[in-house]
Formats: sequence, C-alpha cells, structure tokens
Amino acid sequence: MDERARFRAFVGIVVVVLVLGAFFVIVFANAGVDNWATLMSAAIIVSMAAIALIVARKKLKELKSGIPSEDERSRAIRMRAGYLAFYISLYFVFGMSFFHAILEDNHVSSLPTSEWLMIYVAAMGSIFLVLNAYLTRKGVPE
Amino acid sequence: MKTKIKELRARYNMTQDDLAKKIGVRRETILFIENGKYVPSLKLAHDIAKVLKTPIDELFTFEKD
Repeated sequence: MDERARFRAFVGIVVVVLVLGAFFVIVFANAGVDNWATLMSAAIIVSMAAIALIVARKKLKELKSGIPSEDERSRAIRMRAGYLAFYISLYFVFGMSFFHAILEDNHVSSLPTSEWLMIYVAAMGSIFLVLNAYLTRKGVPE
Repeated sequence: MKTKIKELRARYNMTQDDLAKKIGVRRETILFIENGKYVPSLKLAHDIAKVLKTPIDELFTFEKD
C-alpha cells in the first residue's frame, strides 16, 4: 500500500470510528442513560477526534515532504511492543481477576463486569502505547 | 554494531535526512543505525551501501568481528 492510500485508509477508519462513537453518544442521550455516562462518552469521542486531528496533521506534513509514515524500524518497534503488551496484559488480566475474586469473596462491592472489561482494554492499550514510546526512544534489542 | 555511515555521509556532504529520503526510510532510522541501536535488514543495509558506494562489509562491523 502506498503512502497516500495508507493516509486515506487512516482518515477513513478515524471517520468511521468517530461517526459510530457520536452515534452511540446520541443514542445514549436520547435513551435517557444517566448524564455522567453520556458526558464521559462524549468526552472520549472529543478527545479521540482531537488526537486524530493532531496525528492526521503530522502525517499530512510528512506525506507532503516525502517522509514515509512507517519503515522497517517503526514496524519492528510496533511488533515488539505488541508482542510484549500482549504478554504483560495477560498477567495484568490474571492479576485483576484474582483481585476481583478476593473482593467478591469478602463481599466488598466491586465494579460491574462490563466496567472491569473496559479497564482491561484501556490497560492493554496503555501498556502498548507506553512500550511503543519506550522502544521508539531506546531502540529494539537485537 | 559499528558503522561508517556517518563518515561516509560527511564525505558525500549528505545529511541524515538526505540519506533517509534516498532510501525511503525515516530520519530516526538512520540516526539509530549510526548509533548502533538498530541493526538494519539486509535489504536496508544493501540500499545504504549502494547510496554510499561502499561494500556492506566495510560499512558495518560487528563486535565479534
């Protein structure tokens, strides 16, 4: 896939995700879902749109100056970060499940499963982003 | 890993950006290769060697060598 096609694909995916997100926020608001959840969802969509705008601007600038958006080193970093994030996330999920079980055994009120799931997903994404940033700075070990 | 990329770039009066654009990679990749923090693939090493008109085995030396 050439650089322009990759940029178009990026914009397309971002637009689809944002439109779907906005659609769900409107549905939540109309269905009378509590204000806090609707506001949080709207804040997440706005943050995603802002980040996408910054990334798109950077990518467009690079595209115009002929710099490839990715090369073999950035691919290697992403693969390494993904591989490490996967294994760390497994331990994280296992640890959190154990913690959750202890809370339930002691009849301590805990978060609903859907919210635990959101925490897992957010943690996986964060671990990947942190590792990606770290490896970008430090380099991929041989 | 040690490389002579920096020396050869200077000889040809080429910046990291110029070299990166000629071989189609990001400037940071050249920086990391020069600092020995990234070992390039055979294809990339070949492309760099071609642009700098130097054999690959002269361009890269490894500790064990």
